[in-house]
Amino acid sequence: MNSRYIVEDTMDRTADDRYADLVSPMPRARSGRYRINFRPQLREVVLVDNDKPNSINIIRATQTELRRRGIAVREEIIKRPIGRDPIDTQPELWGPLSRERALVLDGVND
Amino acid sequence: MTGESVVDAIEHCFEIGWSDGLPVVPPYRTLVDRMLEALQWDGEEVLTSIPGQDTEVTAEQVAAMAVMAGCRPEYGRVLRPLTEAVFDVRMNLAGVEVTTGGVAVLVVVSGPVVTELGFDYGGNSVGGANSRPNATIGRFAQMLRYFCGSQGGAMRANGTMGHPGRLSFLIPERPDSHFPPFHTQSGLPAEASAVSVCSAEGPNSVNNHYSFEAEGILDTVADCLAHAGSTSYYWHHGLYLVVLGPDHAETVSQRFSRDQVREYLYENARRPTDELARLGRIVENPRAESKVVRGTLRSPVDNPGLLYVVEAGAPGGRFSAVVPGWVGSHEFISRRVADA
Repeated sequence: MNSRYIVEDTMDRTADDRYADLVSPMPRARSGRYRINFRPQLREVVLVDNDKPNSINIIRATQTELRRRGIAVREEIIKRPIGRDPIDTQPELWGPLSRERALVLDGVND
Repeated sequence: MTGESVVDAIEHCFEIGWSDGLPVVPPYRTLVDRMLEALQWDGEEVLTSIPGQDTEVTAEQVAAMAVMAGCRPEYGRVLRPLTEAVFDVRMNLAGVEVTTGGVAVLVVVSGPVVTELGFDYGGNSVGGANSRPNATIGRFAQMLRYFCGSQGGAMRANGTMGHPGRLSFLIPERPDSHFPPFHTQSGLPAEASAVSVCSAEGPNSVNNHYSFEAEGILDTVADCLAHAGSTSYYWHHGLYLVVLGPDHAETVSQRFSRDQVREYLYENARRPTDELARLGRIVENPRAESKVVRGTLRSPVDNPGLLYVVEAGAPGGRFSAVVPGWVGSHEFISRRVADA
């Protein structure tokens, strides 16, 4: 394996017996709640504007640039109903996005 | 346990990322169990899950943070409601930690608990008192933000500037305040002790040594609130905390109630909308929720309810301060502290 791709897990070092009496303060992500598909079924990009400073300008520029490079980008830019809230707490957006077959790009900021 | 082994443990905590950048009290099992007892939580209890990050936080982890911050177990009656307030979904803890805004969790402690636990409510107490309850409980709140909002250090914090309050930021209200207790602005009874939190930028000092008129003081505060770079001008839904020093509070309270102070500042802390647009503080095509009206004077807040007032600090110098909240912080979240 190429050593550039080895990422050290600092938690491994907590196994040092000398420090076994220390209690970890670190919350960890649960696994398995979301299934993430890294390979879109549709060769198309869908853009989501999250209503952050300059985000719509960046999204439009992204749309133009991707098209210039010959990548299919859907015309409609989806807007988060409430930009400040996580997507998975907004079912009207989360539902359709979770079923989306294209590649979804979201979360740009200035 | 030797002194050397404790220092080794402190270094170990640095090495594995269990630190806010300062040395921590190593979270030994005995200390964490003692803290859990004070907090009256079972260690396995899940206290919250952070929306959007799918992260669960247990009581044991919170107790470990309290130990690491240097808190004493008797602070537990403040730490428990403080934890509940920071984990309130309205705090949007994940957003607080990853925003470019570089904000901290601001803690305001009010009511009898201020004197009961020995908070220093005098000199430098707007986040800078060299006093154990102020410093360690304020630090604990930042650890909750840092460890829980960043998925245990897995996510990068994106704050652009940041400020020293990200290490500790706590303001105790003066027990002899000229105004009703701070937490009554959140609907809690006046006689209660309370802890209140929001996310906030750093404090801006407001000096006025020569005016002994309420309007002179408040107009000076208003100018600070309404400076051109004030973050909320466009978004319009972030809160502000106005900290009146006791000398200023004495002058102001002779003419205005606290609600009148909020109304006065709302009406007078303004800049021309056209100037803000010219400076680039308002976008060309503003969204409807921001209620931008060209040709008018614009407040950085949507309504006076976003302006909170507390009296803090020492007499002897005629200073106050303005603490701008993060634009995503729309209200102080207050919790009652159990009676002693």
